[in-house]
Amino acid sequence: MSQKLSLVVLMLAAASGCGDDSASAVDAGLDAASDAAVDSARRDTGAPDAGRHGATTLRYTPEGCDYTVATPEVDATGRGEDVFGATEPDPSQVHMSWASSPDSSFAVNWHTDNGTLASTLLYGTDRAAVASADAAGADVTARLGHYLTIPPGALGGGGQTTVHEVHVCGLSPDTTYYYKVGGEGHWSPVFDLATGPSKGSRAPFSFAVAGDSRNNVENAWPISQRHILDRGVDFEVFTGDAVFLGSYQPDWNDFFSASDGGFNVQDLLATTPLMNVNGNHENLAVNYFAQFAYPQDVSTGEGAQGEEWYSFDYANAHFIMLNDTVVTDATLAGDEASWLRSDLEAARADPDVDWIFANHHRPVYTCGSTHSPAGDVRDAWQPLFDEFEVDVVLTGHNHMYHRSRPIRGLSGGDAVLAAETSDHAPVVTAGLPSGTVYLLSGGAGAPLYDASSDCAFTAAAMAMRTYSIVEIEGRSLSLSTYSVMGDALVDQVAWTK
Amino acid sequence: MSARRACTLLTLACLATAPRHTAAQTPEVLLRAARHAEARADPKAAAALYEQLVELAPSSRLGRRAGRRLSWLRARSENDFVTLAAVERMRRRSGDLNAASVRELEQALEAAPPGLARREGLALAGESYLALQLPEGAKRAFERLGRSADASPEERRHASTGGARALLQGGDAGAALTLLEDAGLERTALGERVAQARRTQIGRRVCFTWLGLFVLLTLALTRGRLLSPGPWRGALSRRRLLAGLYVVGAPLVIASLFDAAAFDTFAWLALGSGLVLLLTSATSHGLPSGSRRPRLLLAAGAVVSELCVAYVVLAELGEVLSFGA
Repeated sequence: MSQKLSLVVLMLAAASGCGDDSASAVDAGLDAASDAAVDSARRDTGAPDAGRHGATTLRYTPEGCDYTVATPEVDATGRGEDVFGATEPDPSQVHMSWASSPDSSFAVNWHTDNGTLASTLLYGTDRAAVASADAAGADVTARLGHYLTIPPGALGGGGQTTVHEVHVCGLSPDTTYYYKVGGEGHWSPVFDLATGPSKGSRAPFSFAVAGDSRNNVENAWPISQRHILDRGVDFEVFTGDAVFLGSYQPDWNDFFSASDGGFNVQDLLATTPLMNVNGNHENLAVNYFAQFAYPQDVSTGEGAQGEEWYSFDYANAHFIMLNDTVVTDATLAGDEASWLRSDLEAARADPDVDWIFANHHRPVYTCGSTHSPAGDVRDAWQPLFDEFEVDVVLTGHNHMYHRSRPIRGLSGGDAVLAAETSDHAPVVTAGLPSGTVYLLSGGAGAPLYDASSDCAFTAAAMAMRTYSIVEIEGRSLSLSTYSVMGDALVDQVAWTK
Repeated sequence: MSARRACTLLTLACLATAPRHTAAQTPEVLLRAARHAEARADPKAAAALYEQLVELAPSSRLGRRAGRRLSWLRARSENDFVTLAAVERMRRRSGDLNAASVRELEQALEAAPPGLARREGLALAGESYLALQLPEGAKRAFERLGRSADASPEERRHASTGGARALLQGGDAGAALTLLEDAGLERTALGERVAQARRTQIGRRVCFTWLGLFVLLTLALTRGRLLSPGPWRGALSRRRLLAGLYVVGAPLVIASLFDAAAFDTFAWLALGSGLVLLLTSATSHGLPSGSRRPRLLLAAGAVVSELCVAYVVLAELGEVLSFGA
């Protein structure tokens, strides 16, 4: 009797230890479940935000720009209305990005209460003039944008939300400008920004890499942004999963207004462009498209307003921003791969481009962590990365840090390592193709996952909150990775082409 | 004065007053030099170079970057940058972190005047000690940070959470939870983690206590007969051994299909469960026939003991997902 009971007890006890598919913390076990739930919801609905879209969209050409802005379908949208609400008419959550060339343009988004429709931006090169202006005038130029009223998400959190967007074009390269947004009597603080160097310039520049800030554990998101502000980078590349649920606006409110002591993320994001990619948690929600302004060259397979995948040039580098959380799986190897091929062909043929970076969410190479490497993405895109010698691929999704050794090619599904130095930097020899470094930066706030260095393709891996700084000067690149907590240098590699 | 002379003088005057941009003074060169100074942990030199860059090209992109970096350096310039230099040297050692280097930083900070560099250095020392699994050092560094008169609320919060993590690492979840409660941080993710660790620690203590009591129970039920070989011979009969092997071995075989971490957990489960089974079987043999109540008590005790073995093994090696949550 006692042995039989013991058998049952033993099996029950053993079964209770089988609830997690990894040896990582409780958070990771729950985290993998939450990722699966998000992915499941996406598949169940057939499309993100199914049923959420409003019926109104707007298309216009911003003054001075040579492209058209198209909004997603929302509850309400418009331009040119100097109307202010009663609760929060002053702009908040101000953040900037590029919808066109960084050397001559920028775009700004911000948030107000639902009664505020004013979407104006004043800018100039004289801070005092911008600060004192209430309209266009001497040394101050005005630009009119649009507002969007986003419908509430499935959870209904926050009800309707009003966001604003303005595009500014025709600027001079390598110049500091000052701007403020809002409307007469309700302006944001004055922010500064610097346009990029001319396309093809080999002037030094730097950008930060961070990703997976959702849940903001240990307040890592604003802490990482404070460090990035202190580093004085030119822009930031984000690897996706900014929020837990892309259609839940309160998550976005937290993302854009997080603070650490006297620092608010707006201090950085209003002065330094943030270029993001869609992650499985953004899930192509209307909130994602409404609150970021990215290039909208709509290509086959993209949603109506584009911005699912895009590219831009900064100095002598080309950045390709991809979406690997697609509505239809075939898009990865189909329409998106076709676009990627065309874009890479043009970039490699461009004499102004020395460096090519690709950014997408799910990692092709990762070691010993919660999410396995994305085989579908690898099969669809790595051949293109190899063919066109992409220098660095930036990803997230696993909440850890991982840098691969230079990789070029696949053999039986395994990575083929390319020539490397003693610290695993690519060896670049004229006339010979060099390897691609796959960098995973997913530690800006999401619950940490395990990391392992046991894979043959791994140069460095750590279960740590990190952010990275890439410095480019001509044909030299240096990548430095810092811990978010403590700002210690935890990884570094550099190479010259 | 002739027109020619006037032109010549004017040209000379222009040349004399024109800014001289030599190769050493371009923004790119100054930025590179400043970055190199920072890389070798010489913040004083870096600040001077950034200052030159800002003066040279204040409205440029690089001037803006230099301005930001200069602000950061100046905020940490106490003690003529000596403290910051020590902190930066430590920040760049993470690749070869060792206790001696952290103690060296600690000593430098002891002599340092109050200021932001000193406080950030204490936080860095604390985090470094934690990374080295030296909780006593971490606790010391975070306590000093918390006691700093000029610490901000965020720094005090970091001192409390760092101290709690140090106590947790040292095995004292109770003290860690008390520290967080005193700081009003018990409802944070860390607080929940510490509370769970404390419950797990208590559960572990209770289980080990019970297992000890179970051994005493078996001795009491058999009135000491367990100390003689008789009951053990009965427990180790071929039939019972095979049955026991199946009970503890089957999960192990199944676990061998998974990764090494799961195998280890099941191996320890098998060992612990096997010992309880063996003890129970031997006790059963040591009981007089027909002793129903003692056998029921033994069975109940064995069940609880198996649960305790499972709890202890999973708490140590596996993931206790819901126990104690």
